[in-house]
Amino acid sequence: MDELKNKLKAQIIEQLNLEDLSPEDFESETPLFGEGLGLDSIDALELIVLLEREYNIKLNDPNKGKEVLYSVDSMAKFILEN
Amino acid sequence: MDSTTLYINQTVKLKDNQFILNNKETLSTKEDGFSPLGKAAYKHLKSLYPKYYKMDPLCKMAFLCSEFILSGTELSDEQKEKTALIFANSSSTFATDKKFHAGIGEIPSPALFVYTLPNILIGEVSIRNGLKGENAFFIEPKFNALLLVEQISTIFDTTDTELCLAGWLDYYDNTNYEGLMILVSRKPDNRILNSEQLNNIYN
Repeated sequence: MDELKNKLKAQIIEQLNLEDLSPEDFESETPLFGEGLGLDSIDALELIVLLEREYNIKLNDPNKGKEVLYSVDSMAKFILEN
Repeated sequence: MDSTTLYINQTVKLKDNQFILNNKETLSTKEDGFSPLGKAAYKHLKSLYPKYYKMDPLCKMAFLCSEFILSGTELSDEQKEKTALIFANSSSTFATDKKFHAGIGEIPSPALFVYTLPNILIGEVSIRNGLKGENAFFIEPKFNALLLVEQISTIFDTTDTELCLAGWLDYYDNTNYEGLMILVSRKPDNRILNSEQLNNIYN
């Protein structure tokens, strides 16, 4: 699970062009949106693309999106369950 | 002093791996390029603004210059409503356009796409500081002091603007960039806003 979380952090940084950030700069439980990493709805689209492209998982239910994309922890849990 | 005399109250220049605030070298890096300089500046400023990491280099330049200029300045709500922003460059968003274009073959990146308009830097600075004044962005082949002076003067003459953040922010790539940002108002200072003064500051 830790390996997946570290990999996810690196993928999020690359996908969202967070050039000056490294995986060590944020915790896996840090909220990705709002006060945490400061991501917004545009970035949510990118994360949905990332899940589909890298893990072959489609996030079809928009109501689940907030819960799944809350943090690296929740994304990793969702990947393992699917 | 007539009501239209405008003064340059603050300046920040960004070039040759350094930030120069009011003619005084404030921060520099030995490593070449905007990337290490930007990282050092963000750390130095202690801005604690996570949205910074999402910005493209042009917006980061604008953000950092505005942080230097406005640091220590407490703007009232009324001043925030009456702070205009006027900027220009020659590169538009060339570097980000190239990056976006490179990814078009796969899945175009929405996070990159939002930065393919140069006036987005006005948005980033405005959101950070709660600024709601008039704004404009111009593309010019090279630094044009007269354009900036005329546009700033017109904004002050025709609206209730009290302050204006203005300047030239150009970014082609990590080693080809430069910036000049000024804060203008009617508050008397030793630099009157005119083309000659602005060219002197730029050069």
